[in-house]
Amino acid sequence: MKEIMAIIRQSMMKETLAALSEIGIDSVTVHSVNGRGRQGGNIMESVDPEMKANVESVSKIYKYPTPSSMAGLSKLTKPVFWIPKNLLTIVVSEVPVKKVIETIANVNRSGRFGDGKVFTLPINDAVRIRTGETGDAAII
Amino acid sequence: MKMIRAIVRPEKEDDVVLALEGAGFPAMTKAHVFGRGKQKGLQVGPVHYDLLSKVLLLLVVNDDDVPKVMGVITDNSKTGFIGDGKIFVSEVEDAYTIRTGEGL
Repeated sequence: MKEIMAIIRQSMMKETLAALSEIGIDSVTVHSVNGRGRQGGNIMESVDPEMKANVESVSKIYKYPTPSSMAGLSKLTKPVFWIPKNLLTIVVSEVPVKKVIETIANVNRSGRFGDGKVFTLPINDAVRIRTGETGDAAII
Repeated sequence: MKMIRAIVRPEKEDDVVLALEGAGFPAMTKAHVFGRGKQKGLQVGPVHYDLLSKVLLLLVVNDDDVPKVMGVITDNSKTGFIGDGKIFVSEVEDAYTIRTGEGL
């Protein structure tokens, strides 16, 4: 039994859940979290109000120094320390872990920073509260 | 690889995060959670608070960095009073970066 924790973009939830249910995974727990990666967040350049539709294209990510260390250096940039993400936790026993990870990755890969991470953790036991079943029977 | 889950006071969150960043661990996930400890909440006069607001920080680090990260978190979230929080460490088997496909 393995636990898969995937941190993904909030905008990709629908696609991810659809892809997961195609490979037979319907039980998912979703947490709404804030996070950031090695870049320490993001820097959003302040935008001309008339360019609102184009915000994505003018947001820049600097590798080093981190956005938080650059906070307040320039009036034109504003740091975004925490980026809203969704954390999915899935406990699997019969579907292969690798297949689940590949499905999540293929759906979420855009090639830009912030696509997310997937972690796998060992799980010792599971109990279905309604019936009291334990082990694999609880999650199948 | 180890996953570190730290439950800290919300007012200490900034201190901890900045200290971790300074120590070279900028990558983390946070969630606002509610919880209680051995004291079953907090009694202030006639009012009993069943669940207290906390911040859950979630980091995945290499095995060698675990003591360092735990030290940074404890140093910066400690007040000496009940409710400072807990740190849990658990095993992570694999980590995978979606953007590059690294690690699969």
